[in-house]
Amino acid sequence: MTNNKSHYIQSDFILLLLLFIGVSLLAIYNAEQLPQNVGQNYVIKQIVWFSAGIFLVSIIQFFDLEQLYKASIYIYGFGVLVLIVLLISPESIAAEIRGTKSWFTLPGLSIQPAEFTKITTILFLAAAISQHKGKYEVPTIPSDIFLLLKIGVITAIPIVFILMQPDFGTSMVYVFIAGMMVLLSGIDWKIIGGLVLTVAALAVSTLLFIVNFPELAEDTIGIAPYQINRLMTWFDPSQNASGDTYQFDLSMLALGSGQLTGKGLNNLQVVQLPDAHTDFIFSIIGESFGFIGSALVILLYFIMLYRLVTLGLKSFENSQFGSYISFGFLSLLLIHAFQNIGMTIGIMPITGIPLLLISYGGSSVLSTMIGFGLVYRVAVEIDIQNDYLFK
Amino acid sequence: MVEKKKKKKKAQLPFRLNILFFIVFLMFSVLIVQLGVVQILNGEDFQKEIDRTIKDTTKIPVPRGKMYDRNYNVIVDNAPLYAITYTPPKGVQAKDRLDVAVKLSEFISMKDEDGEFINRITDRDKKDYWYLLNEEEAKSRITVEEAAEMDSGEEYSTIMSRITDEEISNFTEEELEVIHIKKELDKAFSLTPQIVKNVNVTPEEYAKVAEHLDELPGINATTDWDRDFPYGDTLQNLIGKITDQSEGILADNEDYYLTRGYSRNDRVGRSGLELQYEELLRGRKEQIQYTTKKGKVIDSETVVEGKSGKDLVLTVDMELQKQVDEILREELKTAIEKHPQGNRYMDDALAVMMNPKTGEILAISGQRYDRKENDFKNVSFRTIYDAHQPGSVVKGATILAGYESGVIKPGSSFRDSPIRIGGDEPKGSWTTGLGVLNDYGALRRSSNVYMFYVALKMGGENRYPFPNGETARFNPDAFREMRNYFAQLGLGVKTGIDYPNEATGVKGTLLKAGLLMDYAIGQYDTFTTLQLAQYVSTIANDGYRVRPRLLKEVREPDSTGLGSIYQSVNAESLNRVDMDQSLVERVQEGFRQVFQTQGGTAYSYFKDKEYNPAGKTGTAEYEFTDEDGNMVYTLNLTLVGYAPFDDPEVAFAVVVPKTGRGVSQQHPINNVIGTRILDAYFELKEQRAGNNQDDETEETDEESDQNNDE
Repeated sequence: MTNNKSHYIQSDFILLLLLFIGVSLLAIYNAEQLPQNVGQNYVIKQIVWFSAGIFLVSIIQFFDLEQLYKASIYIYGFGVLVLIVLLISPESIAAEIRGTKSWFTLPGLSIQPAEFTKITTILFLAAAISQHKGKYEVPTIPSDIFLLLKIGVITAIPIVFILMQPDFGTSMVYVFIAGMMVLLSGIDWKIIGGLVLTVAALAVSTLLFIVNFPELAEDTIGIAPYQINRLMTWFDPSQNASGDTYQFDLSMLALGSGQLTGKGLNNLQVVQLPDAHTDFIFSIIGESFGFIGSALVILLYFIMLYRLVTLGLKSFENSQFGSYISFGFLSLLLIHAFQNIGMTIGIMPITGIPLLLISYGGSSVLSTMIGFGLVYRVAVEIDIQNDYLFK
Repeated sequence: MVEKKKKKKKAQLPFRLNILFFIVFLMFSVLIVQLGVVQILNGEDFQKEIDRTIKDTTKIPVPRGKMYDRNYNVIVDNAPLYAITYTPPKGVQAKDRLDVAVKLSEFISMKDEDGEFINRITDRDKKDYWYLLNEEEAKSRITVEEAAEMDSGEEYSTIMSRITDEEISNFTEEELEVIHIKKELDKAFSLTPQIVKNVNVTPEEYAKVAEHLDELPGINATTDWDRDFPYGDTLQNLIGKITDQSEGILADNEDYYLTRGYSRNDRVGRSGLELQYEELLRGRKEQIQYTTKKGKVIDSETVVEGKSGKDLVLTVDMELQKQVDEILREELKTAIEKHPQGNRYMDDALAVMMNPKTGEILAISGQRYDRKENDFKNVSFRTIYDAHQPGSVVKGATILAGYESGVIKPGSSFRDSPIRIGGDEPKGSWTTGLGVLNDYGALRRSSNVYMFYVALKMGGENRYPFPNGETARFNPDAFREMRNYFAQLGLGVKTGIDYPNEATGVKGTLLKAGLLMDYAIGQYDTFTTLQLAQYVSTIANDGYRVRPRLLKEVREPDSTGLGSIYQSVNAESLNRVDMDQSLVERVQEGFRQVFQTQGGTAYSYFKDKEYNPAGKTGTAEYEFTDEDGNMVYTLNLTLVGYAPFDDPEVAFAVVVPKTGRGVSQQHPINNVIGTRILDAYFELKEQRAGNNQDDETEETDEESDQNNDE
């Protein structure tokens, strides 16, 4: 770090972001060539979303971590409140789409609050964990259990409202993030081990219960039949003959036929791939740019995650709050990338989870950019601290 | 202790981060490996599957050929109907059709002017719709266990049965429109155009749909057609019908159509001329080959250019046809109204007019009186399908048979007195006191006895006068011989008309002397009106039997009017009778005397006619059992003839079956009709000639063409 450079220029993060934006626009441009998307101007809209996102990133830089830390509980509360408002909103502004009430559907604009709540929840989790660790410098078993409870409650509140939409996939993202936070919060292994064992045992028995007594499960735990079907499909894909495999088959066909080097721009052959610009954008990348291109995109995510790990590590001495923001954002990117890419190549079940930073969509782009703005601020603050120390 | 723990705490994070990072690395490795499997290992297979192309050919119907009369007036036209069609691409899902239906409902209405839906929808259609809107909810209506035991069809119908009436009862008008449209879309086969709406499509709807075709995959705005008859009922029954789209090709002849490139829902001629000339009228369908890869049409190529069906020019003169129809109807009406009791069984009047030299049918008319509905119907086809005992009109054939078999010679005479064979009733002529008659006289006065002697002699009984009460010698071969001579004139055989399923009449199976005598006066075998017309034409045409026909020319289709000639149909002589020209001329002279000489049976009707007609009257006793089981005795009144005598241009046959016995003398409807239709023909000719002279300078090709015929 040299002095003649502004702290606000984090060239590595900027470069990574530009690469993601480039990949995103290129892939969406290609998806736009499909007949079902003809006449749509997704690329232009995505540019608008990214621009708005960059604006938000800049705004966030005006706040230091201390301010964000203090505000985090209110931000979290606001995030939860919006989820509640969504649930009680009338059909006119929150229409049911494909059986779930996950969107504010305003004329010309749809907002998915759960995307934003992910970031607000991460922020508050980071604050709660760092606050707890400041308070209990020497952790004990009871203090660890207390921390675990805090993490659990903070995550559970939004999950409850998201399950009411109902959106099982997004809830799982929250659970994953919470799990990662628990792991990194330094809670004693014994507790984590116990927790993992309990959760695993509970999960397995619930699963067995659902699979073997679907009707009883429907009555007692209120799981919807289609969710049961999805679970079963995942266990035995050959049984499924519904629309899910139709999407999956097409995705495999598109991605697979990209082979090593891909077909290049404007040369797609699997034209009827649904949701090509959103959830199945990775299939488009695979078809257009082949194994090399797709592997590079995965590498790009890997580098981004690596950078977040080092950022978290660096920040730990100065600001644990900053560290946990990084880890939370890392977890978010990781689970989305793995689930989304995994679904297009057949190792994960099909859910409506976008590929963050690449998929088309206002809510996911903006919320991810807010998250990005927070970690960017963490990086900026480290530079400021370092500068301060050298002075 | 505290120190130690602090160290532990510091060491904790990097260690756990390593674990985290290891997990990340592991997860990404899994992604990369699987990506390699999908893209590198199996990539080629996926590409192959994509490259697998399917070629399909779609046939697009073209308008059917029109029909003109001999003066190029349009008889059958195509009335265009705006139509909205749907040609589904391959692999279209119900949801896609729903999207199309929703979009289409913005542009078209499935209701008629009264606000009622044109078609009906069932609850099932509503449930299908509900299912698509609430798929997950619908799927939840069956348990996983149930689903496991059912195939997808059972599963679907079970779900259907669990959708409540309430759920499908509250659709809005807009939704109902969508359901109606979707029902039509669902009927379509892949790549085959299906009509969504072709009734009451307003120009506005047509324009709206045409403008938004790009948003409506598979939808097209086209013009379909319907047969239109500018002359209304006239001749329509002879022209026949075509099937509609839901009937498609004729089921009993499926292979015939399918091997000729028809689609199952093609509209084809079902009867009459539409059936007869299907090959010409159908045209050539445009064939477009679609190349499909993985369900997506990537290329379309017109393999065969479409071409409208050929236009037919018929031999019929529609003006004359209308008049003949009118004459038959009037006379039938008059006869029935005048003698409602006497003519209570009378229902048909049939007439055919043709050019004896070319076989061109100028008018072909049948009128049937429907007593229940007190209504007259056009039944031209009955002149081809219905056979009746014609009575004495066949005597020309009997005379010729006598000449040719050698049993009589020109000028041979017989006394007209009743003949009684064995214990049978004596058989005589229609009146007594005809005296001795030669061949001319026999025709002029319509002597039965003269014909009886011809029949007896042909059977080997040569006694003259025949000793009444004795048994007649009879060789049954005489039947074959006499029928053979009749056949040369067109009686008892197919006339060869270009019309499907022509009838030849019924031949009696018993072969006795008395029956051959009946045959000789037209009271045994039955003949169609058309056969009688061909018979008299053959006599008029010096013994050349010409095939009667309804088709004059075939023209290339032309949207602006009459197209160029594709094919002209020429007169076709089927055979020349065995008899010498001079013998045929004797019969001609006999026929002339019937119409033009004192004592001729139709003299009073034709004596003053300038057009120099010849012909023969006929009356046949026709007995049948009525609905109540009573024997009814009626007369078939007939007339054949031609004019002018020296250069015949029109020949005709008139048959009026089942006239009342007692009243036929008071109202000889056959002669009245014969006179009137010949008058009509020559008046029309004169009128047209007059017109031509008036504006000779404006004479068109078509008119001169017509003159050449005459």
